Amino acid sequence: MHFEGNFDIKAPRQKVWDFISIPNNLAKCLPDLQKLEVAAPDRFKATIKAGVGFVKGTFNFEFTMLDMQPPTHAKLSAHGSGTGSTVDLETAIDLSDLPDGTRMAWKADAKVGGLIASVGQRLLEGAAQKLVNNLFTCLKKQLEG
Amino acid sequence: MAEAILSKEIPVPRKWVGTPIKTKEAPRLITGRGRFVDDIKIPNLLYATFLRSPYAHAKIKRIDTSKAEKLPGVVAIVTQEDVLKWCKPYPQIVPPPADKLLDYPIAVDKVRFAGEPVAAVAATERAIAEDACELIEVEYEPLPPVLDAEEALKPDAPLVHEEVGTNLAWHEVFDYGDVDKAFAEADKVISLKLHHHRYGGAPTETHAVVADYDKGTGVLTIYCNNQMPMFCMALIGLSFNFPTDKIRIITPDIGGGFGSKILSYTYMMLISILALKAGRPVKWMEDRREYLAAGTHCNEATFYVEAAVKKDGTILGIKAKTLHDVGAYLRYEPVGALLWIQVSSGPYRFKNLRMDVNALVTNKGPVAPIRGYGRIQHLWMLERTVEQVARQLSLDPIEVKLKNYVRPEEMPYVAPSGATYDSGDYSTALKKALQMINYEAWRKKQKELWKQGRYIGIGAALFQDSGTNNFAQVRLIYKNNPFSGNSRMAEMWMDEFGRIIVAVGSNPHGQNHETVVSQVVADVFGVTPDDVFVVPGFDSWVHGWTGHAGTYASQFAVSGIGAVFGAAKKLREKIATIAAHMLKAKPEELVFKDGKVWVKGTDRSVAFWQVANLAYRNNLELPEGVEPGLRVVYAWKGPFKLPDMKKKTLNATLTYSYQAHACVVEVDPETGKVKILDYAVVDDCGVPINPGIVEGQVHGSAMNGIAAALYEEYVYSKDTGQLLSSTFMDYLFPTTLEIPDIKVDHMISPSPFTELGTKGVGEGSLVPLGSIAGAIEDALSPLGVVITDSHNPPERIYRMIKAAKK
Repeated sequence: MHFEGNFDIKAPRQKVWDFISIPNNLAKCLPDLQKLEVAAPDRFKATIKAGVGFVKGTFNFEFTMLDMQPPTHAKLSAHGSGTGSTVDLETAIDLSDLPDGTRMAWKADAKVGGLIASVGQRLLEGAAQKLVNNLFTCLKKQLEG
Repeated sequence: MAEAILSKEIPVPRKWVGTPIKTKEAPRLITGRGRFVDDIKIPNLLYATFLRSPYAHAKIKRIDTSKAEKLPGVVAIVTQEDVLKWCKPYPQIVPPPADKLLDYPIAVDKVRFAGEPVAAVAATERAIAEDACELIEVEYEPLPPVLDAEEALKPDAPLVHEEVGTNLAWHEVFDYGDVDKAFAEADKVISLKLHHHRYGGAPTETHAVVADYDKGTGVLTIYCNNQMPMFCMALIGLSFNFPTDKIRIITPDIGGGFGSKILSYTYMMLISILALKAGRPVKWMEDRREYLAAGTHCNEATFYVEAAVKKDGTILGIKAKTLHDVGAYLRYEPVGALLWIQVSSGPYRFKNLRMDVNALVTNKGPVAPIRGYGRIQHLWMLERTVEQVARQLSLDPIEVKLKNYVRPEEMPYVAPSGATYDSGDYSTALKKALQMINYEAWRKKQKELWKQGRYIGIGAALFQDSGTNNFAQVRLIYKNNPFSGNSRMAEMWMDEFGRIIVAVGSNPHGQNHETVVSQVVADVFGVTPDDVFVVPGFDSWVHGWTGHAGTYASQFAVSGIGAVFGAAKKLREKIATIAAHMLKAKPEELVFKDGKVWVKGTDRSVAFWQVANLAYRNNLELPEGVEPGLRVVYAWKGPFKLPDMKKKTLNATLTYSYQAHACVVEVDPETGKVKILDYAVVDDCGVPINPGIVEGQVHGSAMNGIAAALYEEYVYSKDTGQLLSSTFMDYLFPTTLEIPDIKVDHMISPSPFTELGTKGVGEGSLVPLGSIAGAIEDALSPLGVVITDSHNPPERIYRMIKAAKK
């Protein structure tokens, strides 16, 4: 699945960058976070609860931040498993200035496998879109105060 | 039925054969008293489940079972480490380089399809085993999957099996007659690209295995529902590091198979390894999602066809390049890519055929000998081709088919591949089916209906069901394959009280063998079917078997019954010898009737139990040279020959049942939905032993075909190879609401090649794939729509209509 979009945040670019480059901050916006473990400044593990339709469960994710070009560009790679399913995620974020804030242009490619991919396939795109929207709404709220 | 003689050798009146008596199996099966693998109860039984791959293609970097092992209730876990200790890779039947393909019952080093077993857990409860699977940590390195036969053929395609070096597991060209001359003489050449989709059988009962190792005797008993376990012993014996003399295989009642319960030998071995490791018996009952993903699919095939024709519709010759997508492992393949040789020219009489056959491995579920294995794909391709020939020549498809059919007076007919069609009248069958749906009346109304905006069409097709195969056919894949002929064994005895018992080497799963065997044996001994007890199920220590034993490939009525009939004649001969001695008459003067042996034309007789008494307990009164006891074993051997390896021809199958189907459909142009307005079948399976059972088989096969044509399809996601049709929510198994009333009529063309004139009938060949495709194309012919896929759900038809209307 491929998603992309733009989010406009009423905050200066450096503030947005500083915020998203810290694992603890990003983790605040993960759905139903159960546990967070920061292994390094660019690597962290999170246990979340998520699901699609009636297929819900606990997922263990490993996030790695790559290709950091402050304060413009970042990549986030994630691998998660749980509930007989796997998720492999590659995201890229590009920040640019706006007259009254920052534009966050983002792209995400997700490969879902196992139970959720087969039984939940009808609902997958809708559920993923909802997750993404919630994530960015949360980030925006955190940054705009 | 006429008072015909059952056999030329022994004049046996046909009283029970041909009668639709109620089956012996039905009472227990419909009152919940059937005994299936899941009903097997053994003390200390553990329950197994599998951890399966979520990836279509990935390297297995690490498996950590430590957390799972600590879960209370978990007794044993099996991974590739255990499998490599217990198993050698399965032998393959292809020539190099694909013979190097590594195939184990569990994923080793790599996972090659989503749903492939990666670990097996045995625990005191199924739920605990499932929880344990969640705790097994597997680190995968995902690899790009290859999900399409044409993609798999490309030089830069990801390799499913690096050890083979290519995804092309088998390639062979078969050239019959003079194809180039046919194409040179053609008035027109028709070209088509066709696709036969992936679907499968969906038996009510999924796969199941109970493995019980007796530490005292060293015997491993495997209860399973495999359709041909003794045939699979060829693979188990060469792979499993366990002494084969101590393996006992039992199949109780089986809830349907349709060809999907053949490749479960991998599970038979895995559950056995788990039982050996656990030191306790283990049961595995597959769930429906596992079955749909990994329980075996049918051959998916792409065809590039060219037909050379005369403008009057005569077919001169056909060329086809086929690409079979066989999934991640070969297993029985490329047999499915070869079996078109049994029906090379289909019901048609053209002599020139060139087949360029390719079998490709992909990262999808492995294919199996699903109903109509290898033949329906080919027959469907021929039917689509012939109908396009007609349309492109502006001729009536029905007329073109009738024109090109093999004529009844040409039977037995040697088709291009050397396979000989035994008997049949295809034209009469097709015309009869058309009559049953009022073809003439619909044709008259059709143009008017089109003007009203109603798209109604008529389709008719005839598919053969080739039965009782010659296993030498696999030598055409690789000359070194040590297989040939066909055989079945039956053991029969009369106990000392005169009761007849039969044990046949077959694994019935809905075919009602106990009933048909009783009918045949009853006629030989002049008793009723209730006087004959057929030992239910199969036990390798009780039922006679050869390496071909099993229930598959439309042949029990020929091979199994051949063994039964042979054993019955042998036993009858022995009884006659003893009775003749007792009655002071000649064996030729004796008649078997009402449980006694009579001297013809007199009232002198001796009862079966009296004969049995001499044989069992009183043998000093037996005639000279007669062994005590009344027990015989007989093995039927198929009258086949080895192939001509140079011409690549052989007589591949002994009998040819066939069915002509005709249907009327209405296509809704707004939704693409197809409604079947009328459906008729004319079935010819030679001499039917039990017409009631045949009727059931015909209905079942028609349902299966209608479902495949309109509802059932295995769909994989294009990028990640996930099976999307993974439950009955998406894999549309039909209900009675989807299936119309099916009118059935029968014809009887006895086989000249079998003792009783019977032909195998079990598969039925899924003719609706042809008739429905033809009817849809006919309905939409004003729009010029061409049906090129065997599966036509509303979305596909809707898109074709939209494209045509542009």
